[in-house]
Amino acid sequence: MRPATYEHEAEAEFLKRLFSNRDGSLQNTSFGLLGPDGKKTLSRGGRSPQMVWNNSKRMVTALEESAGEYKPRKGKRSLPTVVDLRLGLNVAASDGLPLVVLIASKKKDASLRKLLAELAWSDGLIAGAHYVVLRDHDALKEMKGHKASRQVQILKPDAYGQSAEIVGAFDLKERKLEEHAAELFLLAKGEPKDDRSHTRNGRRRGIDWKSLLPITDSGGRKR
Amino acid sequence: MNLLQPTLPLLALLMLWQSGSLTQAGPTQGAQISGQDQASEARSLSPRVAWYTSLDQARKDAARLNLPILVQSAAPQCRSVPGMW
Repeated sequence: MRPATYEHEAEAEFLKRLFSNRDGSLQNTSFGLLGPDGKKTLSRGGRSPQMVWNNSKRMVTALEESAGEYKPRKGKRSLPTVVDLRLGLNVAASDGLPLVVLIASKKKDASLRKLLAELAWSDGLIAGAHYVVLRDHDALKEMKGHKASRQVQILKPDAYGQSAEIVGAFDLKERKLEEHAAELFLLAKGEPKDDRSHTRNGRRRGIDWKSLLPITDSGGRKR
Repeated sequence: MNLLQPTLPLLALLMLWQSGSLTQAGPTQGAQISGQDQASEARSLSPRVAWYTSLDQARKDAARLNLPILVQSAAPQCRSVPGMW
């Protein structure tokens, strides 16, 4: 799993137990391997994979050994969602991936999530997008390409994840959804970025991300 | 966050290999392929990790499916500019 470091209080506490500064505060990144209960530690924690495993060979060995200790149970995976649209746009922009928005009422939430999860974990689409669930279309109305009648909207975030263009939309009962979604995912894929120019241009434009929690890593503070 | 960049391809390969989702790249050379095939081809050529981004969801699925959890946290901002890890 890859939680965003400073965006959720309970997750921050969890990450601090995995790895933190000497004073117990969060660093920008953390790595580690845990048992299926999310509590048992299968590796030490660290700021990077190198810090935890030294090299890729050791990492592979550790992952193989840990995977061998647990016999997977059969079952379907849930839809992996980002907590809200604002963070979803940022995470999707950071990865250069589409953001898939499911609009679902409380009553239909579980059934629609289940349908979309099957699509999200399908061989052709796995890891091809991030997902957010909203109760209504309000936050999407101003976006170019919005179609209020459709359950699923495929967003192409701008480079900074501030807004997005909607490249397509569909309902989950449509036929040949995987192929249709794959085509839309390609349209909504982000362009490669250069970190220096991205940051320089972002600062010139006054684009500033306010994390939910204070940044406590000296390397990650605003300079 | 330059520290992470060299490690991500490795993680992607490992995670997709574990989930059995890393597909063999490419049809037979010279074969005609449809637009749909091109789309799935383009996706399969860039293996990635299918991350859970929520702790709650990841722990529930890991417990239910009895799978160990590889944790990576990162901040989606570079010097307070979003859109970059």
